[in-house]
Order: sequence, then C-alpha cells, then structure tokens
Amino acid sequence: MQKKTGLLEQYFHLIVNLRWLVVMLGAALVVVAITALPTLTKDTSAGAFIDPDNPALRYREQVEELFGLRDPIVVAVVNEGSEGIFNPDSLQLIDWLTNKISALDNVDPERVVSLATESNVVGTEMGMEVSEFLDPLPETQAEASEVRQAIADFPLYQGSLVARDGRASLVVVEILNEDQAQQTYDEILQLIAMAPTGAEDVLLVAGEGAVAGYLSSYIDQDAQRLNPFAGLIITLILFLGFRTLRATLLPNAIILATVVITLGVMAATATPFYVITNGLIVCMIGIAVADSIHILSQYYERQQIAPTASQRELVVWTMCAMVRPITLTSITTVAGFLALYPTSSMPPIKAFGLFGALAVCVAWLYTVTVLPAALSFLKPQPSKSFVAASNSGAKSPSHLFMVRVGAVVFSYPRSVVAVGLAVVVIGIFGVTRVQIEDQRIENFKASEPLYQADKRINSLMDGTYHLDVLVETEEEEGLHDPARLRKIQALQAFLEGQPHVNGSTSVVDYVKQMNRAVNENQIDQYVTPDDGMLVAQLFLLYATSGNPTDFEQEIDSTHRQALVRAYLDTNAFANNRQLVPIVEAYLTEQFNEPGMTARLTGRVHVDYHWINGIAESHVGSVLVSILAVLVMATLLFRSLSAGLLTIVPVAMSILLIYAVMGFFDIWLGIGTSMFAAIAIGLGVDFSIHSVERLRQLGRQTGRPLAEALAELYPTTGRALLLNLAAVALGFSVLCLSDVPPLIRFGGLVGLAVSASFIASITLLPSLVLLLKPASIIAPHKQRDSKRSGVVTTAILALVMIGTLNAPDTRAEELPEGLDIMRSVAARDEGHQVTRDMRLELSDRRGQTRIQEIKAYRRYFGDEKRTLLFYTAPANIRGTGFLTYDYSNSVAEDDQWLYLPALRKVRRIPASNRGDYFLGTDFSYEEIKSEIAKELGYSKAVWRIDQAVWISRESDYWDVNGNHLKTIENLEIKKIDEIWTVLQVKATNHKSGHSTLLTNLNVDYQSNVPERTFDQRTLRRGP
Amino acid sequence: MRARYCALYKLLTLLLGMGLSHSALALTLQGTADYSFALQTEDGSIQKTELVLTPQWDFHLSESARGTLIARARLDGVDELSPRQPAQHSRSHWNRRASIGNNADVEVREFYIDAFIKDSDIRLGKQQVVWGQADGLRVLDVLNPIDYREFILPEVGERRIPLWMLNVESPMGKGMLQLILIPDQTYDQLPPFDGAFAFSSRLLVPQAPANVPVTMLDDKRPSKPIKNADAGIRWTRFVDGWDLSLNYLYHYQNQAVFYLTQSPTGVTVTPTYQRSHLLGGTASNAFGNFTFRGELGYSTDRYWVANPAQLAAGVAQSPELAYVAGLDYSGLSDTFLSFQVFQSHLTRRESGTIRNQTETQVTALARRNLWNEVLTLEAFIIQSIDDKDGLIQLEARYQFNSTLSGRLGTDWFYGDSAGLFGQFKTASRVHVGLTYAF
Repeated sequence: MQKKTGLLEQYFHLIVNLRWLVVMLGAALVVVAITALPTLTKDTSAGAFIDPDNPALRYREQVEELFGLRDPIVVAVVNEGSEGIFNPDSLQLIDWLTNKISALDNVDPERVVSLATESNVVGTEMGMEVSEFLDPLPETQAEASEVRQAIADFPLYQGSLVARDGRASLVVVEILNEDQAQQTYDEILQLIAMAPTGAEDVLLVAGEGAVAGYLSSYIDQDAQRLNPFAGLIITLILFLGFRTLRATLLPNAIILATVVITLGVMAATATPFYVITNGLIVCMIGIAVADSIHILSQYYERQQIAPTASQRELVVWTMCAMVRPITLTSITTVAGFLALYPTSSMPPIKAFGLFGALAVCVAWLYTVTVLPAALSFLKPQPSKSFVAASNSGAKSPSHLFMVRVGAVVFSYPRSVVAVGLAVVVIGIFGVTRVQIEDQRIENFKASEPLYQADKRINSLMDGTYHLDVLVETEEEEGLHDPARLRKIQALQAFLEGQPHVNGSTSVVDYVKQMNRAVNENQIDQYVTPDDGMLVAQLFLLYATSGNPTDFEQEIDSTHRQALVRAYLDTNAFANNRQLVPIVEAYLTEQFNEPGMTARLTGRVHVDYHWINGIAESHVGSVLVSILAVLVMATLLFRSLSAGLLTIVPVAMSILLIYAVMGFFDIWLGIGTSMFAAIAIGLGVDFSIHSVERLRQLGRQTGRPLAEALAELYPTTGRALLLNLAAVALGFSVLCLSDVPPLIRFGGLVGLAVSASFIASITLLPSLVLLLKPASIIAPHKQRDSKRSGVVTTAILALVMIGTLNAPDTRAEELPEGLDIMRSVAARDEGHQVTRDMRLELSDRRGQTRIQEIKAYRRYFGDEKRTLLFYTAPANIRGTGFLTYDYSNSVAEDDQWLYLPALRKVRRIPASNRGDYFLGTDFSYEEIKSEIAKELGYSKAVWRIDQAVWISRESDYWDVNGNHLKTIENLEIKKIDEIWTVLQVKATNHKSGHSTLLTNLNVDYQSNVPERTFDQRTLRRGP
Repeated sequence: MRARYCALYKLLTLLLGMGLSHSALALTLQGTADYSFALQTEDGSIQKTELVLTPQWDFHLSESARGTLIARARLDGVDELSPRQPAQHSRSHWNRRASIGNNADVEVREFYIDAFIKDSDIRLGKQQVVWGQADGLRVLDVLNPIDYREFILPEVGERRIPLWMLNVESPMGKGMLQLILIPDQTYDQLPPFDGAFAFSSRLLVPQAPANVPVTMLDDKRPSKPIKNADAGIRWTRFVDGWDLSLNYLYHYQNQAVFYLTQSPTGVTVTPTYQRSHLLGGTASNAFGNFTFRGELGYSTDRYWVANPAQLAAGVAQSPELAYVAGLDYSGLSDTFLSFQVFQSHLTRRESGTIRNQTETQVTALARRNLWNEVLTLEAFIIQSIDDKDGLIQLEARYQFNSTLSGRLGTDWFYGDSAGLFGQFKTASRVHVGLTYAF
C-alpha cells in the first residue's frame, strides 16, 4: 500500500509540476477534435437502424427495385358529404393535387398513384376499353356519379385507392430521396394549404414515407433544443452544491472536452450521428460531471480539515484519495457500455456502446490530468456549503438530510431490506407485463397532425401498412396459368381473413376485371378465366387501349413475378408476431409448389423481423452488461461479495425501469432498448462509491459497526446526493420535450439513476450491517472482544426496595441503592425532545389496538413540561395532555386534558399518576418520563444498567403482594449523545394485557418553542 | 340559495376525493361515520335511525397557517326529530343546513383558517369557541348558539352551531387575551312544533289558551353584520395552580324573545332577539384527587316568558346572575365522578314571570372504565330542584378495535310535563349505535 501511495503521490506531483503542459495538451486535443467536427455526418433516417446486411431489408430492396415500391407519402382527400368524394369538386381536387405533387422536386412523377392516374377497364363491343377514371374531368354531379359507378365495378381499387364507402380517396406519392422526406412532407403541406378544396373536403397527409422521414428530425430537433438546457441545469446544481465559481466551471470544461473529443472521433471514423446519439450526449454530460463532483467534494472537505494546507498539497491529497474510486467507476461504466457492441445488431446502438465507452475514458483521462492541473493554478478558497457542514452548529440541508437518512436506515436495516425485496417482487411482476412493441407512428404526440392523419386514414381506408408476397414462377408468362392465378386468389382470400388485414390487391384483380369487361360487364364474369390463352389475350387487349405499365406494381413485364399486397390498418408488433408466422406457414404448406414460390416482403415484414430481433438481443445485452460490471467490480475489489454488493443497486434500477415500463405500458422497442445499458453505466457510479467508502469505514475498529458505517452519509452520501441531483435533473429535462420518446428516455433514465442512488445509500448499508461481509468489515475476532467487554460491565448488579423495609442485599463492589437512583434521576434527558410514540395494546387473547401519540417535552429551568397529542386512532385523535412537572417534590404537578369532542381544556388531578394512562399498562408518570419513580407499590425491583443509568427491567407488586406488572426497556440507544429508551414493554400479569411503547423520530435538536406548552396549544391541536 | 348549496356539494365532493387521495397538498382527511337507532319507550315508535357522516379535512397551508373544514351529512330514515325541511329562520344565510329531501341534510360545520402571526393565534372562519368550566350547563358558554333538534341528549360539541367569527388569542403580560368578533347572526335553532323534542314547557315558550289561533311570525333577526355583531373579550391566567379567567361579552341572546300581540283574530308571536352584556369569570384548580370548577356570569338584559295578562307582550325583563360550582373526584382507580350545582337568580324579578326567582339544577356523573378502556359505563343525571323533573342517561360503550365502537343506552325524562325536562317525557328512549372512525 505504501509503495502504491508513493507512486500515486509522485504521479500527481508530476502533474502539478507540469501543469502548464498538461493544460495546454488538454486544450490542444479539444481543438483538434473541433476541427474534425464539420465532417460529422448525420443519419437520422429510420432505415439507419437496420443492419444493411439484414436479409429482410436486402430482400425488400430487391423487391423495391423490381416493383418500384418505396414507402409512400399518402395524401387523403376526405369528404363526409352525401356523395363522398364522388362530387366534381373533390374529383377536381384530386386531379389538381396529383398534378401539383408530381411536379415537386423529390417526387417520382411516374410513381404518383391516384384516381387521376388510374384507369378503368370496361367492356365494349370491341372488347375492352381502358380509360382513365378522371378523363375527362367530371364537371357535373352526374359525371362524378359515373366515376362512383366505375369504381363500384372495379374491386381492385376499393379500399386501396378509394374508401369502400366512398368517403375518401388517396394520392399515393413515392419520393426519390428518403433523406429529403421531411422537406417533401413540408412542401406537400404547403400545397394542401392552398389547394382548391370543396365545401366539405378535408385533406390529410400521412404514410410511412412521411412518418419515417419526419420522425428522425422530429426527435433530433427537440433533442438539440433540450441538450443545452440539461447542461444548464447541471451547472446550476453544481453552483448550488458548491457555491464557488471553480466548482461550476471546471466540471463544465471536462464536459466540453468529453463531448467534443467523442464527437470528433466519431467524425474521424465516419460514424454518422444517429438520432440516438442525442441520448449519448446527455449521458456524456452526466458521466463527466459525476467524477468532478466527487473530487471537488473531497477537495473542499479536506480544506476544512486542513485550512492551512497549500493548494498543491490539497490537490495531491485529494487526487490520491479519489483516483481509486474514480477509476473503479470509470472501468465499470466502460464495461457496461461496451457490452452493447457485441450484443446488438443495429449500427446506431453499436455505435452508442462504443462511443459511450470512449466518452467515459476521455472523461476519466481529463479528470485525472487536466482537472488537478487546472485546480493547482487557483488559490485555496473554501466552499460556503462545506464551511457550514463542518461546524457543529447549523448544517446545510443536504448534510442534515443525509444524516437523517442514515439514522433511519441504521435503525431499521431489516425493514429496508424487506422494502428492497418487496420492490424486487413488484418489479418482477412489472417485468412480466412488459410488452415488446414499436410503432413509429406512436413516437409522435397524439396532437401531431401526422399522427391524427395516420389514424384517420387507416380508419377510412383498408390500411396504409403493407404486407407483400412476391410470387415467382420459373418461366416467362408463368403467371398466365389459371391454376396459379387461382392460387393467388386463394392467398388473397386467406390474407383478408387475418385480423387487421382489410383488403388486398394483386394482378388477379386486374385479370378478373378484364375477364368481366370482355364478357359484357356481367358481374358473374368477375372470375379468373379457365384458359391460360385467354389470360394472355386479355393482357394483349389491355395493351391496345391502355398502358401496360399500369400493372407494373402488380406484375413484372415478363409476367413471371407478381406482387400480392395486403393492406393492414396497424403495424403493431403484437399483431405482426402472429400474422407473419401464420402467413409464412401458409406459403410453405399450401402455396409453394414446384415451379412457383412465394416469399414475404413489405414494410410489415421488415418491421416484424427488426423488432423480433430486439426481443432476442435485448435480454442478452442487459445480462452481459450486468455481468461485465460484476466481473469488473469483483476484480477491482478482489472479492466476490463486494462485487455482488456493487451490482445490487444497478440490478434494482434496471428492474425498476422494466417495472415502470410494464405498469405504465411503455413499450420495449428500438428506442427504449438502450435505456438499460445507460442506466447500468450511470448507476454503477453510486454503488462503487458507496461500497468503497463502506469498506473504509467498516474496517475501523473501536466503534460499533453501525456508528462507523453511519459516517457514509454526511461525506460520500452527500457527494452522491449532489451527483444524483446533477444527473437525474439533467435527464429529467428531457421530460419537458414534446416528443414522446424523449420524454420516456429522460423519465426512465432519471428514475433508474435515482433508484440506483436510493438503493446504494439504503439497501447497501443495510445489507452490510445485517450480513457483515468479511470483505467490508474488519476481521471478526477484533470486534468480538470489544463487545464482550461492554457486556460484562453492564450486567445487572443490584436490587432495590421501594417503600417497605426489606433486607438489603448489597454486593460489595456495587454502589448504594440510593446513589443508583440518584444517578438514574440525574440522568441527562436532554433540554427538549420531540418524539412520536406508538402504543400497541394487546389483550390476553392477542387482540391488538394501536395508538399513536406526538409528544413534546421541554425544561423550563427545573420545571419539566410535557405535551402529548393523540394522532391515531381516529376516534381519539386530537386528545391532548399538558403537564407541568415541578422539581419540588412537595408541589403537586398540574395537568390538563383536552377532549376534541368537548372543545374544552379541563383541569385534571395529577395525583392519579398511578392510574393507567388512557387504557395502556403504563401509568401517567411512566408515560411522561422514561424512568419510573415511586408509585405506591408494595414492592418494586429495578435493574439499572450502570452504563446508561436506565432501568432495563423492573417488576412491581401490588399491595397484596401479587406480582402486578413488569416493565422492560427493550431498546436503549444513544441519540444525540443522550441515552434514549426507544422501546418499552409493560406487561400486566393480572389482566394478561400488555402494552408496547415505541419511541420514533426522537429529536433532541429541534427547538420546541415555549409557547407549545400552553393551554391554547392543546386547543389548537398538534 | 340553491346555487350556493350546489357549489357546496361540489366543493365537498371535490374535497372528499382530494382527501381520499391524500394528495401532495398536505391535505389530510379524517372523520367519523356514525349510525344510531333510537326507540321511544312510551309508544315503541322509532325516534331515529340516523346515519351521520362527519368528515374533516385539514390543509397545511404553510409553516404558520392551516385550514380545517368539517362537514356533516345526516340521513335519518324516519325524520321525526326535525320533520320535513325546517325553515331555519334563526340561522343566518351563511349558516344553514342544506336539505336533501326530508330525510337528509348536509352542512358545513366548521371552516376556518388558523394562523400564527408574531405571538398571536388567529382563527378566522366558522368555528366553535367555548368559554366556561361547566360541563353541559351554560353560563358563559353562550358564544355559539345551540341546535335543540335533540334537546341536550347529544354531545355538546354536536349541538353547538359553529359561527363565522374572528378569534384572536395573544399573550398579554403573564396571561392570555382572547378577542372574539362574531358578525354571524345565527341563534338557537328550535325544532319544529311537531318534532320529537319540540318545546312545550311554559318556561320556554308562551302558552296560548286553547282554541285561540296562534300565528308564529318569522324570526326578527338582526341583519347588519358589523353593527349587530357580537363582540367578546376574555383574559385567562394560570397562577399558583389556579386557572382563572375574566370574561366579557356584548351579544344578542341566543334565545329569541317571544313577543305576543293579541288581535281579534288570535295571538301573533314575534320572535325577536335582544342584546345584552355578559360579565363573568371562571376558576379551576386541582387538590389531591379532587378538581374544583367554578363559573359565574351576570347578564344585564334578559327576557323571560311571562303571563300576557300581567305583563305586556308576555315578556318580563330582568338581569340574571348565574353560577356553576363543580367538583370532580378521581380517587378510585378507573373511575371518574363529577358533581355540579347550577343556580340562576333573577335580580329584579317582575311578577307575572313564569319562572321562579331562583332556579337550581344539580348534575351527577359516574364513569367507569373496564378492561383497559375497552368498555366504558356511564351514568348521568340532571335534576331541577324546583320543578323536580330531570333526565337520566345510562350508556355502555364498547371499543371493538381501533376504529369501531358501539354503544347502548337509555335516555329517560321524568317529572312534571310543564318542566324543562319533564316536557320530553314522551321522548324517553333506548338507543343503540355504532361509530366508525377513519
């Protein structure tokens, strides 16, 4: 150890000596990184999330090549009037829109589909006539109604291009460049604003193309708005915590360096800035600031202890003390982040893991080099918040708060562990409710026009989500085979029978329509012809009056491959995970045959595989992260138990995230799957610092374990609190976002970090206290001998007699009974005390009543005044007792009773002090003070503990010599240097009734104002 | 008025919901639900089968300010005590019950803000303030009027009508000074003439000869909040073991004075309220197992029921000197005994006044706790020495658990029907009840 310290000291002395060099190098690195930044590319498209090698994606791209079907933007014309859209105004509007939209830059004019572009197939004497629906453009209602009739006769377009009830029609727009999708969306919105709409026409814009394009920039813009705000909040926290300029600026410098260098490396390695990289920036801010907070806390604390030390000494001492925990937390955080890389298949998430780890390393490097160097330039200057903390007077609120927390935790370690277990159980229950789901549209607020348009269009039409089946035959014109066509028709029927599939289109719809046309438009001729030759002729006939490229979305030019498209009104994974396997099974078992095969493709199919991948990889990545942290911690602490303790808070915070997701129906999807890794990375900070400090404290000898461990709270605990405030509040800023995914991100991570903190300062110390792991506390032998010594001196040694003469049995070495009682009476009770009392009254059958009292006591010179208020149960709430105890034993005490039902204070005789207090087994006197005085029993035995001058157990006999009652002081603790009885049990042997009195929240410090002990306080209430 | 009560219902429902959710406003809800059933012993009829819900909300407004709201909803299946929807003329518009049908009513009982400024406690709002040391008997405890719906059988806290007032308590010297200002012109509420406890004693209400039609006009209540406000001052001090107080109150008497005017068509009764000064004091101390309680009061202008043949309008005027002396004994374990003597003396009794110049009543109370206060047995008697009528109350209360208790008892009036207590002989009853506290 000495050697190591020596090396560390030397290193930091070196840093401080070369501080100019170090600072310049640090700055230079930042400058270099800044120059690389402009080359950073942005890829905020949704497609970036898919591994380019993903087979589903590649296949889909092939299909897109073939059939030219990209994710379209969809413009809907909705008319709720009596004619629906089949009125001249609406139809003209459709035509106008089609023309205008086709003229836009990023729109593929060949791929705009609407009523204005599609053709009707009707039969004539000549055979078949193909003419556009809106050619000529209808001017009168009669002409519009003809269009309605035409659509009614052509099932292909029903539900896909025109709503089945005629209330809406679509203009389907394909864009050329996905990166400009948002721009195109905006342009279309502008067009709509000035469109010549009819009286009841409503225009809506939606579609996968719009959603995918808009989503990324939607998130990106909001994140850019909020990230600086998060930094501002953290700066504010730093200032409030330390109240010095340097403590506010230096961490910011480290944050700046971390962010800039990480982004610079990203740019240098041509890694694009993804949507989720915004989340990484907030993480980096949190990580960078955490180390600085711990170092600066130590620095200021050290300064209080050694105010005359020079800045150099302070810096070196601080760094030597903190470098170990800082390094430990950095290493474990790196482990957590790196685990993302091998376990995810999505490039942005892999990049997130990799660059997150890099950011941690950069932050660590700057914290152990540039920070001490920069600090050594400045003169020693105390921090106001730390000055206050070291005085015995008023302490800062955070100090007091942490000490309070520590007191509670060490009073009830079992309860804390029980609560922890309960949270685990609830958490597991919540985990089982987590749903795997991701729908891009649900990333928008419900008030967003795009969201509303999507929902509306999907309710009017068959659906804007497509599941496609590519049918391939081996020979050209292989699809002319009627048997195959019928199989395709059967496939369509099967698809339409699935939930959420509202319609389908294929080349078969065209063939049937053509067949009907040539058979005098008879309805019953809307069937596939039996003759393959006839099919060929139909296509030929179509070519004479229509454009054969009209089919190009349904069949390829050689008639070898066909695309069957099913329209779904939802893209929910919950639906897809059932639909896709069913369709695949159908295709394999019933459709595929020698010479014809079918494969699934389309947006729905791609999403299905994509999200399916999340389910599998997610659990793995979380487990690997936690395991990595465990291994690291075990290696660093050289103890498995310490390693296990380290992951307890982290595991709990992860469990909590899932539980919240489960209970609040937050989906586990693309966006949320990273939260676990971030939570691990940030949360492990708290547990490492806590375990490290607990080890230092636990190894101290000469004090009770609980007392030693309690030191955790005012020092490390306070720094952790500051750390939590900075990180949690920083993340919570994201909750202010308009964008649902950012709100979830900020909220869940903030929650996870808070949970980790809480578990670190409550569960960890409780576990240490209860389990006493050897890795944390001193070797057992030492502790034992100390404790047994205390016990020996406290053994009961005396019997004392009350009023009647009885033979004294005195032990030679023990003090006189009177002296003992004098010591007992003279025992310091504190000048004032506030406490809550809890009374459990149990009768001989075990039936228990609970009463709760709020008690105040204060000395007025030698006079002691006590005020008691019942706070529970409800039927006696507000009942109050006020007593003036005069030190002069001649003067009788004065006592008042307030009954809320009477609204009056009444005087009661205090001499019934022997009476039992309101139904308990304690007398009035016993309730007022912890020591029992002479009370008129025939015999009484007190067993006084000399170490504390309090009776441990006392017995009383009534005037007839029967053993009346026993009072046991079950728990006596030192609170604020005053020995306090925390739990007393009185048992009445005659009635079998017992009362358990527990004193809670005993507070000797808070001022109890004099006016509290007035009759008017009795009337006013607690 | 209806609109006001609609707002009241909405407010109460809102507060109930808020209270139940214990929201972060530092709002707490507590209360009791009480069911009682009473059977008249004379004719076996059901006197009441009543459910009373009394929620209380406490809001913590700041370090030194709190608010309290206590409401009461009452549902009586038989509507014998206060039949139909009584007019409530003796209560100001801001202090009335809202009836829901004939059997139910809702009331804001108390609603006040407590503030502590400098050294003073200020309570502003609808509240009860109790002066005096007597239990149940009223010499100085006249700030709040009484609802005589069930005569004196319920707890006095239930019978008092809280008033809108300003109540300030400040330390002054070694004692405490309390200032009261009551702009609320609400007075004793008598039950309707066909209620189970309707007044018929000559001492309280004028008796019309048979076959003479009587017209009762609406109460002539004072109506100016400031000009007609009651104002009082009390100084208390604890010295040498003695609790002492000096009280002064300038107020309208809570009981209306029934002025009779005779006309050819009959008798018209005009209830009017009169103002008076009240000066008094209390003293209390504990000696060994005994507690002494004393109370003295002198009212300058009081009006008494008189024979209309002898005194104009059937009203006599005389100042009154009244006192109560009480002694409590707690020497026996788990037992409480209390005795009180009450005397009221008219210093200038005019002939024609119905009541005697000096009226005396005595009370005795015995209470015994058993089984660590799980069972309480109580016996109470109040007897008028002059009229030899009185009331005996016996009750047993059992605490089932922390929140639920039950009771069984009897209230028995005896004596001359013309007397204060004897007039309710027919209303003697046995009763049983359950209380749930939350």
